[in-house]
Amino acid sequence: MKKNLWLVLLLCLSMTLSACGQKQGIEPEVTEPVTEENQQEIQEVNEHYPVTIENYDGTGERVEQVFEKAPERIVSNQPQAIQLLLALGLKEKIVGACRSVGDVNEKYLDEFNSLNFISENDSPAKEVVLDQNPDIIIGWGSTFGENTLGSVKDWNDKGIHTYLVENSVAGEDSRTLDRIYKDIENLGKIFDVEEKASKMIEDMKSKQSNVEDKVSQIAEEDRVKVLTVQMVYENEFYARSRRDLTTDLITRAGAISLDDEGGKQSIENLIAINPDVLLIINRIDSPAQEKIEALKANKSLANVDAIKDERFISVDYVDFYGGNYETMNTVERLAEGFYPDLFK
Amino acid sequence: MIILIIMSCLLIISVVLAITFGPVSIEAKEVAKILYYKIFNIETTEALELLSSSRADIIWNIRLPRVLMAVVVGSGLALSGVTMQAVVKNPLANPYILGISSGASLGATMGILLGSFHWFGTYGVSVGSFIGALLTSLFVFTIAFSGTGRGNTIKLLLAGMAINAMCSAFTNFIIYIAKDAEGIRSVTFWTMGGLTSASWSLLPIPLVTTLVITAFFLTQFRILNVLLLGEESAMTLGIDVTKMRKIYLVLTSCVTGVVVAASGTIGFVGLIVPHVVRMLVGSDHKRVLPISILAGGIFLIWCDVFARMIIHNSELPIGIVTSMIGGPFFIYLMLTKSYGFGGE
Repeated sequence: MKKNLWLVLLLCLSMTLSACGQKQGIEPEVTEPVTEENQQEIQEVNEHYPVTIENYDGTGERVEQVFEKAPERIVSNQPQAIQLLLALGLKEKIVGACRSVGDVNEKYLDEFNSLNFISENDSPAKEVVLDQNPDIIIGWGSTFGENTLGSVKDWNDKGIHTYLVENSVAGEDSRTLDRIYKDIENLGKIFDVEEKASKMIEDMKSKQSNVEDKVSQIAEEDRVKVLTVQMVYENEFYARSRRDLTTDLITRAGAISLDDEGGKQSIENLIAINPDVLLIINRIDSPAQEKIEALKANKSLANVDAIKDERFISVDYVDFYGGNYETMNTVERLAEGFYPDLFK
Repeated sequence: MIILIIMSCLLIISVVLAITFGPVSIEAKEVAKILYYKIFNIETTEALELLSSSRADIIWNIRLPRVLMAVVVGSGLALSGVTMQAVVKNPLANPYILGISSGASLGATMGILLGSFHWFGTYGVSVGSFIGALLTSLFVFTIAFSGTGRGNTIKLLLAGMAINAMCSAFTNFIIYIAKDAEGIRSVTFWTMGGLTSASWSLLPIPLVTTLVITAFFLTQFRILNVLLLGEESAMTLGIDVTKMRKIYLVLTSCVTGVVVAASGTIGFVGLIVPHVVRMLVGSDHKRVLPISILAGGIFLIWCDVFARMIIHNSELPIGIVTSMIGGPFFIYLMLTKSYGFGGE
C-alpha cells in the first residue's frame, strides 16, 4: 500500500515536471506569432470572417467548417498539401509536417526540409498532433480514420478545424484539375490570402487555356491515345483508374486517356489497347527509367505502338496523385510530349 | 492406371482450353493454329503472317507461360501438401505449415516496401520471398531436429507456428511503419497470390525444380505410406525415419519456396487437393501422389481462368478464388463421403 502511494506521488510529480518542461519549451513560440498576426489582421477580421467552407470527413461525407479568424497553427500530414501551402506563402504557419513516399517539387525542397517534422509517414500519432497545439489540420482524405490520424468529428469537437484536400476525398468523384482550383480558392478564403490564391488560379487557367488553344487544332482522329503505367513486372503491369487525376491531365493535354480499371493487370490488356504514348509514373523507389527499360525489353510488347516508337513520358508522384499548383506545368509538358510538332 | 491417363488428358485439354480465355477475345481456331505453327515451327506465309500479329504474342508469350505456370504452381503445392501431410502425419498439414509462407511474405514485404533486394532489379520481390522461405524452413528444421536429434513432429509443428507468428509480426511491423499506401496495397495483393506476372523467363526455375522433385517423390510412395502408419511401424520395417523425414522436408520446402516466389501465397490448394484425392481414390500414395499432382495443376488452371475473367479488364487475386471455389467443394465432399485421412 505504502509502495503504491509512493508510486502515485512519483507519477504526479513527473507529470507536473514534464508539463512545466513543455510550457517552457513551447509557449513562447505559441504566443509570439499569434499576437503579432492578430494585431496586423484586426481590421480585416471583421470584413473577412466568419468564413464557411464546405469540406468533407474521412468517409467522404460533407462537413461544414466555420472559421472565425485565420488559423495560425497548421499541422499537415501530406507533402502534396504542404506544397500547396508553401505555394500560398503559408510556410510560417506550418507548425507540424509529415513526410511520405514522394518529395515536394524541387523549388520548395529547401523550405520543405526546414519544416518541423512530426512523423516520417502520413499517419502521425494523435497526441503528437495535439502536442503541436494546431488550430487546423490539413491533409489527405484516407488518413482521417479512427486508427490513423483520428476522425474529422473528433478534431472538430476539440475545436480544431480540418481541411481535406479535394482530390483525396473518398467517394466516386473523379480527381480533376478543377478540384485543385477549388482547394486553392478554399485555402485562400480560410487564410485570408485570396489575392494570392486568385493569382495562382489565374496563372494556372491561362496556362491551361494556352495548352487547350493549341491542342484544339488537333483533329479528333489525330489525337494520341495514352495509357498510364505505374509498375511493370514481367507480364504484369499496374494501371491507374479512369477516376484518377492522370485521366484529367491526359485529357486536358489534348489526348485520349485509355486508363480504365486500376490495379494489377496482364500486359495482354496493354497489347490489346495498343496506346500511342505511355505515361510512366516516376517514384523515388521505382524510377520511371527502370520501367521504361523493362517495357522495352519485353518481347511480347514489341508490336505496341508506344513501345515501337519509344514514346514514353514520365510524371512525378506529387503531380499525378492529388495535384498541385505546379501540376499545370505537367499538363504543358504532357501536351508537348504528345504533339511535339505543335510546340516547336 | 486408367485414371492417370484420364487425368493427364484432362490436364492437356485444360491447358489448351484455358489459353482461349483472356480479356482479349481470340477464336479457339486461331489459338490452335498459333500453337500448331509455333510448336512445329511451320514457316508458310500464312503462318508467318499470323505469328507476327499481336494475337500470337498474346497467346505464345503471355497466356501460354501463364497457364503453364498455373500447372507448375498447382502441382507443386499439391505435391508439397501430400508429402507434408505424410511426413508430419497430420491431416491439417499444408505446404505452408513450417512457416514458409510467412517467411516468404516477410521477404516479399521487405522487397516491396524497403527495397531490400534492389540489386536483383525487377526480380527483387521474387528473390526476397525465396530467401525468406528458405531461411524460415532452415530455421524450423534446426529447431525441430535440435536436442534429441530425432525431430518429432510436434516439435516441428510448434516450431513452424512460432516462426510463423514471428515472421507475421515483422511483416506487420514493416507494413505499419511504412509510409507507402500503394506499397501496402502491393503487399496485400502479393499475399493473396497471383499468376499475372508469369512469363517465359520466370517459368524455368519453378518448372525444373517441381519436375525433378516430383520425379523423386514418385519413387518414394512406399516410404510415404509407411510414414503415415507411424514411427514405430516404420522403424520395424527398417526405415531410417529421421533421415527420410529430413530429406523430404528439405525437398518439399524447395518446391514450396520456388512456387511461392513465383506466385505469392496461394492458399488451400496444398491442403485440400490431397484430401479430395484421398476421398476419391483411397490413401495409397502410389495413386494419391501422381493424381494429386495432376489434380492440383488442373484445379489451379481453372481457378486462374476464373480469376482473370470474372472482372472485366482487371484481375482477382487467385488466392481468393482457390478458397472461394475449393472451400464449398471440400465441404460438399466431406458431407457426402465418409473420410478418415488414411486410417479407416
